[in-house]
Amino acid sequence: MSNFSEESILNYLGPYKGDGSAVLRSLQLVQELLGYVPDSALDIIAKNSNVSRAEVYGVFTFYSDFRSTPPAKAVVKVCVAEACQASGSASLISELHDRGYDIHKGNIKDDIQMEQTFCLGNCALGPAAMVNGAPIGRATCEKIFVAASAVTA
Amino acid sequence: MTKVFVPMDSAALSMGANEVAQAISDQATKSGLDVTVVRNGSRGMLWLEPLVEVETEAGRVGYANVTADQISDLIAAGFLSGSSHDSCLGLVEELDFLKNQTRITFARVGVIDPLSLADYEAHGGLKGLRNAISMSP
Repeated sequence: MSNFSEESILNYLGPYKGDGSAVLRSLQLVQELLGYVPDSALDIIAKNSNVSRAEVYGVFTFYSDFRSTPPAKAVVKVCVAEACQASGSASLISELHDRGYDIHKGNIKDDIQMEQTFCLGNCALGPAAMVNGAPIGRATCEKIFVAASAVTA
Repeated sequence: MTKVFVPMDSAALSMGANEVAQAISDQATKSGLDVTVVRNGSRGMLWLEPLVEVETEAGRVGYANVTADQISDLIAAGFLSGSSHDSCLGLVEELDFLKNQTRITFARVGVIDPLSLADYEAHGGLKGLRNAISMSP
């Protein structure tokens, strides 16, 4: 995952060469390719899109979904927005905390990282969570760990 | 051939709809039953997901909150012919939630596989286009 060359990234971004409006898409593509956006990729995207590094950095830091460090094997997102709070996410979050995961800090333990997120759109089936992109409705500590250990195994 | 509908929208997936669909196919193959699993969208009754529906002569019979490990019990209880069970809701179209709605743009939501052109056509799709083609400029 951390093995990348400027050439491989440029290849991947090929269709967007010189397209200043494709900064967001380029960041998404790099994160798709590497799992995160390394600092050096910001320069590569800036060069490829023909915009300043500052502009790329601005977009990169605006969206909390982008990460600057490699992700854990399992990335769990737990919704902390209102509808999920109303359906009991607070007790879920404190249970996760007891198991060694502070979703507000996003620490990694046993190849699992748990992060807070604001609304996954699955409000009717809250508390909502997501494990490596797969949605979990009526999330419980149990369900989350079953799904997370399935991808870390 | 029995048609079974298992929704594939995110809400249903978050409640294990993929595992349910897989379990139905596996069980059907194992027992030599002629079952086609259609992945439709959700009817909108998210609290019932996965809402599995079975096509019967009387209409589509629904089963609420189905889990993958229930499938062999459901098949044994005859759910493929729409028989009653704890999770059985009866005819889905007759549920108050749907009966009291007039759906226009959402008329086919949850009814068909959204990527099946044949299903779309069978439910009145392409009518306007065909009509337009038959008209003279």
